Amino acid sequence: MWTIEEAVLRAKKEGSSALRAELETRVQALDPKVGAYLNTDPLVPSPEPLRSAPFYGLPISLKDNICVKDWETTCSSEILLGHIPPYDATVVEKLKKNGAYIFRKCDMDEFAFGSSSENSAFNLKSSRLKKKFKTGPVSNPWDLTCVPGGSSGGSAACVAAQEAVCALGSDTGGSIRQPAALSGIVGLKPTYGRVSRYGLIAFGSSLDQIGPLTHTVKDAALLLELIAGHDPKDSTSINVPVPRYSRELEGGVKGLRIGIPEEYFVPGLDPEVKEKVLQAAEQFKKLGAQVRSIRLPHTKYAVPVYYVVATAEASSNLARFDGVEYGIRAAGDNLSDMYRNTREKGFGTEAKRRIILGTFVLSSGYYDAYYLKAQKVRTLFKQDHERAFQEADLILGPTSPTTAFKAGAKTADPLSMYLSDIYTISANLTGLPAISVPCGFDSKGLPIGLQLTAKAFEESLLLRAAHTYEQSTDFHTKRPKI
Amino acid sequence: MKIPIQKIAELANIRLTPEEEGTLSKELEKILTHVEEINKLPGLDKVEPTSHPLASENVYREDTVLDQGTAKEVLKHAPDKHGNYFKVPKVIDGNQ
Repeated sequence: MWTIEEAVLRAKKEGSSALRAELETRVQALDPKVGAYLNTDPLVPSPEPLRSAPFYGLPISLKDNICVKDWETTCSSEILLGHIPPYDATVVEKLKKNGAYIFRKCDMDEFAFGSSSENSAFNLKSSRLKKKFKTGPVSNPWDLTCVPGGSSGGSAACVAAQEAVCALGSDTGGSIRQPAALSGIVGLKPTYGRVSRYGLIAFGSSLDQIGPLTHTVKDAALLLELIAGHDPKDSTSINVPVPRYSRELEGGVKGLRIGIPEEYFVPGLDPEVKEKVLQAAEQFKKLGAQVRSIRLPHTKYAVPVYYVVATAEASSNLARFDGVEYGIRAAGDNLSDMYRNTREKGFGTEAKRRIILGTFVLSSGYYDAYYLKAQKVRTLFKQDHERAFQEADLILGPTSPTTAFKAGAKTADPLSMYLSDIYTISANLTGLPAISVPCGFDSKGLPIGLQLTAKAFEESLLLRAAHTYEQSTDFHTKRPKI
Repeated sequence: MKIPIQKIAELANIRLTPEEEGTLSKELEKILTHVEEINKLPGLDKVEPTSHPLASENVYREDTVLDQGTAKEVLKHAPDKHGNYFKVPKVIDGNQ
């Protein structure tokens, strides 16, 4: 395992190619089993980065919904095959400017729709697609028969399997934090507006954020300070100064008020996950924090509200994929036929399901009953959290109600899959920053994640608390044997 | 709640096979039954809706022309093109 600092130190000493070659060897040996990466390459190799740049030679693995110039970007969807962006996403531009380079692109649930990474269009034995792409799903490095979580499952699995130093993913309802928890690594969703989304292929525009998946909290802090900041190309990015998060990690948690929502500990939460999360709360007490019970009364409405808001936004965002400007086109006698044939061929089942649901909740006659109502309950969520943050500086709970589940276990029942996001959704509905850190293993040896949530733009506090906890445990040093 | 699936598929410009219509209808009904939990919340008529998680204001900037020369780049991966244009099938039927 290399931390970001170790990787950069090594690249500065030996040049960037030695580390790259070593990672490549690991990928060749392990990825046929893990399946984290897509087999795409850039059309033009990236130029050798400046040796004087602070992150010279740092390889970054990237979820395939983040655009890289001259590198096919598919969102793991057939409809975007052949889509080669003519520009870099702002996060990619920032990484390159600082000496990092994009190592490989990671598999994901198609358009980030899912919690297991099984919804990738390349998770098929389709002969049309298999020449170019891997044919298996992403597996959990801790148990290859289990899912890595999703939708950033490739980004989580490559880091957990040490086929990467670090990765970026996107989080709309937990898509960074849940796979981080299930794969035993750190995953951070920054505050809404903290990181530019220019070049991120949109799913739910009032929810999406890009964030890091890393081995350590310090690495998450380092990556966040690289990618955060205002961007004139994203009008939802917010112009507040970016602290040097990695230099604000020390100082401990003495006196910090940590709230545990009563509503999080309900049936459906795996008893082993519960036990480890409560042990983590005890650990925070030992470290000097005050742990108290708080209320988030509307928690049980998180999933219903999310699946109305997120699908509504998705149906609107995915309207642009119509076979005209990029990706595939299926022939049709007239324009409307061509649209329908292209979308029928190009979208997988979950994408169709969400587009239909989203179109329905926005359609005339149902808008008030579903979409408007969900937006109102979203207001109640915000108020719940405002009240909770009067009594606590951070909210602590599980990231996911269970550890990694078996591949195929939830594919037949979309609702059961949706319910695995129950603890992560709130941070997206409210825009708050949240992090998942490893807090132990269940009896099967599968990792468990602890989620901490802070007030908007308080990533410094969030990272400091997570770092203090991490450094007092050794869960982050454990690696899977593959 | 039963979804008028054919009408919605038409609105969404998606063609569904009869099997897909059947399974999707059933799955969506189940999801909507779960969503309808929010109807049990009293007093929602007095709550303002939230469409954006954090308060934000409209952002204005000068309208300046930048020659980014992207037309060629953008058309490079178009499924079909004609000169500097995206080419699409007939939009208006000849006998209309």
